[in-house]
Amino acid sequence: MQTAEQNMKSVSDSAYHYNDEKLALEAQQIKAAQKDPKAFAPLYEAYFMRIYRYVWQRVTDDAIAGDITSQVFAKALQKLPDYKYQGVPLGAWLFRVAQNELNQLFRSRKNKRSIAVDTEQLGHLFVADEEETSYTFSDNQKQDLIEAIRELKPAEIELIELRFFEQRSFKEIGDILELTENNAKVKTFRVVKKLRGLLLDE
Amino acid sequence: MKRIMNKPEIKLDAQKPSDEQVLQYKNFDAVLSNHAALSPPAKAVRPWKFWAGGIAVVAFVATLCVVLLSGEPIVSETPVVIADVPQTTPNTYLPAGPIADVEVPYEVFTVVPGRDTVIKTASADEIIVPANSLLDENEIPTTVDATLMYRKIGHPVDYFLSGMPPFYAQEGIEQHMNVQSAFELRAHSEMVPLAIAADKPIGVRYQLQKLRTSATVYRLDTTSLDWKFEKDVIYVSTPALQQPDISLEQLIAKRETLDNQLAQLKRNKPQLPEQAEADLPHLRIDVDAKEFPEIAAFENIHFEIGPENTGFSADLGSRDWDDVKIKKQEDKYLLTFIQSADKYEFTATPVLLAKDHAKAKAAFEKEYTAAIKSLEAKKQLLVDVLKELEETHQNNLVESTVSNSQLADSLKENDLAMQFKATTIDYIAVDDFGVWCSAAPYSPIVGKKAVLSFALNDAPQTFLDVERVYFVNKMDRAMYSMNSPQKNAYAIDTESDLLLWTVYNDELLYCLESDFMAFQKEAATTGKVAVILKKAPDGLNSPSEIKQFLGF
Repeated sequence: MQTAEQNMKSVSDSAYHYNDEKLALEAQQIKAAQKDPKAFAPLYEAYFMRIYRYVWQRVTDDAIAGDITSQVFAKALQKLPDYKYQGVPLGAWLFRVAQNELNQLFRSRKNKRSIAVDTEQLGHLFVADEEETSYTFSDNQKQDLIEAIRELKPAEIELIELRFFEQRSFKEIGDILELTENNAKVKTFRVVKKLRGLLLDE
Repeated sequence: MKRIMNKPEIKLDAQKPSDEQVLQYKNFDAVLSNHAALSPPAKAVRPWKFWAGGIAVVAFVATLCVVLLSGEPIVSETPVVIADVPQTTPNTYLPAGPIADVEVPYEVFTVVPGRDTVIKTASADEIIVPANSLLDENEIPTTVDATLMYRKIGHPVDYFLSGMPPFYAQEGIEQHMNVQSAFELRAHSEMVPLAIAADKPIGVRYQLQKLRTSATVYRLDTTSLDWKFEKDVIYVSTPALQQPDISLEQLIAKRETLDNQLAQLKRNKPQLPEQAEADLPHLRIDVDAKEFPEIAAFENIHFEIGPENTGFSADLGSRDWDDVKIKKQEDKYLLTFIQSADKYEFTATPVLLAKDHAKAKAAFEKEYTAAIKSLEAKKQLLVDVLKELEETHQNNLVESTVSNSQLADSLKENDLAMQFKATTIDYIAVDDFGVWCSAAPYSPIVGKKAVLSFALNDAPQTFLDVERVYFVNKMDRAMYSMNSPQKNAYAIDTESDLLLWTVYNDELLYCLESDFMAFQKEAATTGKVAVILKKAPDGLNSPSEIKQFLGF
């Protein structure tokens, strides 16, 4: 039996590596967009897909995700004059804008919060040993999984989504949630442990 | 503790859109258009300023200027704005309420944190903010003007709409709160949430439309959405009677005035004029009602010239005089007739001719008796009310007979413009921002129990699996709720005047009161009945509209 921590490592870090050169270019693009909204185009190009997928994960409807994503970028443009570059990719800030937009949407109850659970990714947490490459949930287990996820707090669900369903690195999770990379890792580990406990009575 | 609403929908292995499908939604021009349509970003320090554009200002009252510790008057330039609160406001404590887009509004105040301040809200509650009690994120007293937001939940329907849970957990079991009133208090400076200094709690003195002598204070744990017990008993002041339009002192003054009027009326009882003597001369003279009300009140009054007026001759009565003057002289009147240099004076007695006297006598007695009775009645009312007030104040008891409609009606008739409300004032020392209430835990209902099945009025044979049902006991204005895990078994007090509603598929459903009454009767015999629900019409967008729909 592997530990939850070991299994967490089986999720590969997504590309979130901005070197100094790329960050400097982005800073220039931000500066230009702060003066002229049309200059935001390359940043929109760079982040559209990731923001859309982030939103889709939480509404699970293609068209609604499209509308919200458009709104997120419009809001981002509106707030951009106040944005202060802090050496972190703009993406972290954009995700927070998206998070606010979604929270507002759910609070107004125009849309219900969805959680798209990727059982294959989550299955990595339950492989019994390193020989296994995948884990298949039975129907009963899937029902238990739903119940277990319902027991999680919203912040815990957010961590599971970011890490396992969206394949984000701890660095990126930390930037989005305004945590240190290590703290994001520790918190995620605790949630995984809790989830395993709920499912496996550990 | 389960949340009533907003449960996320969990989808296992939902089909994610491909990159090509996602790119269909990529449209930078649309983003630019959306951006152009958005208003400029908010820069205001005082949130009420930038909210004002998009909100309905339904009340505007300034308050307070008081002297507390410093002894210096505090001038509040604070407008009270009842407004929707933007989602970006920090430290939101409550989840969305059960009805989409319907929120109980906040009142928003600006507080100068270095000074003692007492805020009087639109609902006449008081928020007492000691100087330097507001701490910033570094736990030091903030020096920046603070925005204080207060939301009074004083009506059961507001409670329902606010998202506050009407239950609490005790050893893992859901218990019902018998909620009558609650409030949410929060504060921030420049969008940074503030805290309250431990040694300087903020006092909230708030009114309940309910008489009671004690209560328990609960604070909402906003993480678990569970009410947590705080204090056993709170201070409950006891002005059971309120006189919004007249103070106790004014009432006493009014009684004294009535005493005087009554004494004067008895002392100066007007005399009914005597019947005229047939063999004495009589003059018909119009008199000024203001100058001689005691005789002007009688129609066709005459002056009888007494036999002592030896110089009077009948022809004097038929002459045209330049002027006639009348002067009261003890129980008679002195008449002066003037024409050029000629002047004649006679003493006369006001009389009524025989044909008028009997009629006037009857009317006079009737009117006088009524006047005396009216004054006596007014006095008695005041004596009764004063007695109530004085007893209440002296004994410090919450009890009243002012709901006596007979008394209220009588008072209206007497134009005292008094309104009596049965009110209790609770005081809570708030040591942390959040959601507080003073309430009594739900008492087990003594009554008949029945299993309810719910159906819509247009499909009475199709039963709905409603998750939670809300009740209001209209007599004590307390709301409680029950949920379906209890197998739809509800204990009903058949003697209560209950109102019932629920939310099903995000739609407000309401049990018609008449149907509900019918149910109660049936429950007594069968213990199992269908409750027919009526759906709320579309477009209920405010608490007042929902109250109107619920008829409460």
